[in-house]
Amino acid sequence: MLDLLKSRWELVLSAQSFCWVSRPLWGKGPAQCVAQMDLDSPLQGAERLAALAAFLDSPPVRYRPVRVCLDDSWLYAAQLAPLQNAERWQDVQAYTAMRLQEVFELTQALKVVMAPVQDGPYWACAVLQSDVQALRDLLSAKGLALASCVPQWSLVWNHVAEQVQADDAVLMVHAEGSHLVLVRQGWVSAVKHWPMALNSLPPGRCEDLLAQEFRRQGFSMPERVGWVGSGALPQGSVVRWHRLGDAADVLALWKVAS
Amino acid sequence: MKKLELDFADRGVVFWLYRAQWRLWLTGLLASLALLGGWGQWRAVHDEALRLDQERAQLLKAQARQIPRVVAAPKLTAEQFKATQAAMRQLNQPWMALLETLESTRKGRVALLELRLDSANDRIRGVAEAKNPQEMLRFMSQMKAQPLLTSVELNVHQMSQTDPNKPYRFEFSAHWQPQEGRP
Repeated sequence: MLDLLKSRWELVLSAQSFCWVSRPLWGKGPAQCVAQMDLDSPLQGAERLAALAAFLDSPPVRYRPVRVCLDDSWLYAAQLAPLQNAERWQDVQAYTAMRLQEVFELTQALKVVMAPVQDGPYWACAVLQSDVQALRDLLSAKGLALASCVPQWSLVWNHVAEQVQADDAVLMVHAEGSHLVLVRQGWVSAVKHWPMALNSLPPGRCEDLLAQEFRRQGFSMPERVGWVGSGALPQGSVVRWHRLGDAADVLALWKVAS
Repeated sequence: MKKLELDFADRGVVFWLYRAQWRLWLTGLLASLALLGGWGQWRAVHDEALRLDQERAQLLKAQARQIPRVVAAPKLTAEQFKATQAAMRQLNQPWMALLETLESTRKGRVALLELRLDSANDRIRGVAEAKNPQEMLRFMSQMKAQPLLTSVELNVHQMSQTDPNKPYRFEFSAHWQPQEGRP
């Protein structure tokens, strides 16, 4: 009972690993990996759910709300053009789900989250409805409740969001991947995911990838880009890196998953 | 920049409780404290009401105890009843009326030494001393003149030889007729 007031439990699901993480509820203590399963190769669909069921067979905690953190292998995210003359939120939501199904050539139902803007392209993210249902069922079978289900990168983003300007670009780097978040007029305009740590690339290669992505989004390369993560980024010829806080306790989410 | 609200979980009770900020917990804590305080107050009032009820019940019981009960008189035997009647009759003798009657008699040189009332026969018996026989006779005639006394008789008389004044000691009796309406 006391543990309920002291810690929150997270199930961190990555491409090749599952992990139970206990995070202190009060203060900013480090997250702790309590149990972990590493997969030999990245799994998808039913195979991944079967492996997850085996992992959840002996959970370290029971009768608790759990937050599930999904990495990009579970997610479908894209920048979409807005629906013209949309009046209702449900219409935008249905349109977004339909567009994502088209983009990723899916037939399954999607659970969509998005940050639409009035005019202009917006970023949307989705997960398979069947995956969310399977997660809920697997957890409830062990006396656990799916209280939250979020993309991993959004947790790190929320940790530094207050330091980000209305028109800004932020690069989040961890051992297994990197996320570039583009912000326009206070809204997340695009999120680019690379399945590698950009600071592990040869000098100049990181800047090339960034310039390519900015061009693809129709933006010019900014002189100043915020970043958060472990290690350091190589100094480029154009970009000046601006570190956004420490965020070590949130980055533990990725560290324990690596 | 605001934080992103990207959550695929259903918006249920668990979802909102999990996301509750410290303000909500604080509000919940304060509400719990207020409820606890209210419950304490209610308990105090309830206990006080209970105590007052108990006191009222005790008072009613004590009041009921103070109300005189109808006690059944113990049954008496015939002898006890007669003795009781005699004692009551003795206690109810009209001593005051009798003494007033004797006081109104001009005793002169007569001293009244003893007086007894036989309530069963309504007769009085007395012992007195007189200076001489004339005084004795005059006392007796005055007794006879009293309207409440009848059948006045001189029973015994003798001269006392031991007393240097040689008084006449005599015993008398009379029938006592109490007035109607007087005890």
